[in-house]
Amino acid sequence: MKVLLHEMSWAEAKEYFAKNDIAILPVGSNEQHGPANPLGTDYLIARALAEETAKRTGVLCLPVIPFGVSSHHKQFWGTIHVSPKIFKRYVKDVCMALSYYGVKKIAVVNGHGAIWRHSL
Amino acid sequence: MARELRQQGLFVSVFQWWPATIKLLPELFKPEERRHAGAEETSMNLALHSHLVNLDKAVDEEPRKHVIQVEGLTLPLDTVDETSSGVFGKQSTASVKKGKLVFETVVSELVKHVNELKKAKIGDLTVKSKV
Repeated sequence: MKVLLHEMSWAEAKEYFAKNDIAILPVGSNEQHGPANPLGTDYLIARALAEETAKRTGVLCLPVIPFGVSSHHKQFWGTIHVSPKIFKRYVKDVCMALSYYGVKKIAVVNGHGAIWRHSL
Repeated sequence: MARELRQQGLFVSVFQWWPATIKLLPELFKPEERRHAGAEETSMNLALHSHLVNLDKAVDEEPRKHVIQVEGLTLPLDTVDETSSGVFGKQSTASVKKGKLVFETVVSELVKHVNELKKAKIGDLTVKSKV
């Protein structure tokens, strides 16, 4: 059984949403983690945790949202930051899109701390 | 955001792996290894995608204290105000073994949560009426 939304066809997604009201949404950031670590650290970890959990529970997992509230790291090259307002709006719209298909419960798996201080 | 969505009948939980790790594996890392880009995060990277980590460039850096510093103060500082490398604390003690342990422990906890959420009735999760 497929659990990753981006691997499903719309017909497979329809079948999932007809029977389930829950989804997993990984979110992270693309920001500096020192010279040894990849910029994608936060979103890569969130994605790995979310996808493994989806496989073990049979709950649908969305593609990760990779950009977050990271302006405090901007002087380190490659950090891509969005404003708290835009981030919050974007995540909310993704959740509302899920709601359109009958989802009522969403487990957000967050890989980046600063985001939720602004967004909960 | 989650509160606004709850008002609209949508229940959103937020799971963060590092607070879970402090509770579930309290002895695995020292406080200076649990900060941004420290050994904890680096160990997770090593366990999940070691080809993206260059441990030869690992840094241990004690963050600088800002000139303005008293208890109870919050300042609009950037990372560059406190570190030159972007690492807060100790990174060089990271290992694949520690990362695998963290990943397995956190996934088990997250699986528990998702299964609980799956079983929960939406009526028990939505906003309550006035008392």
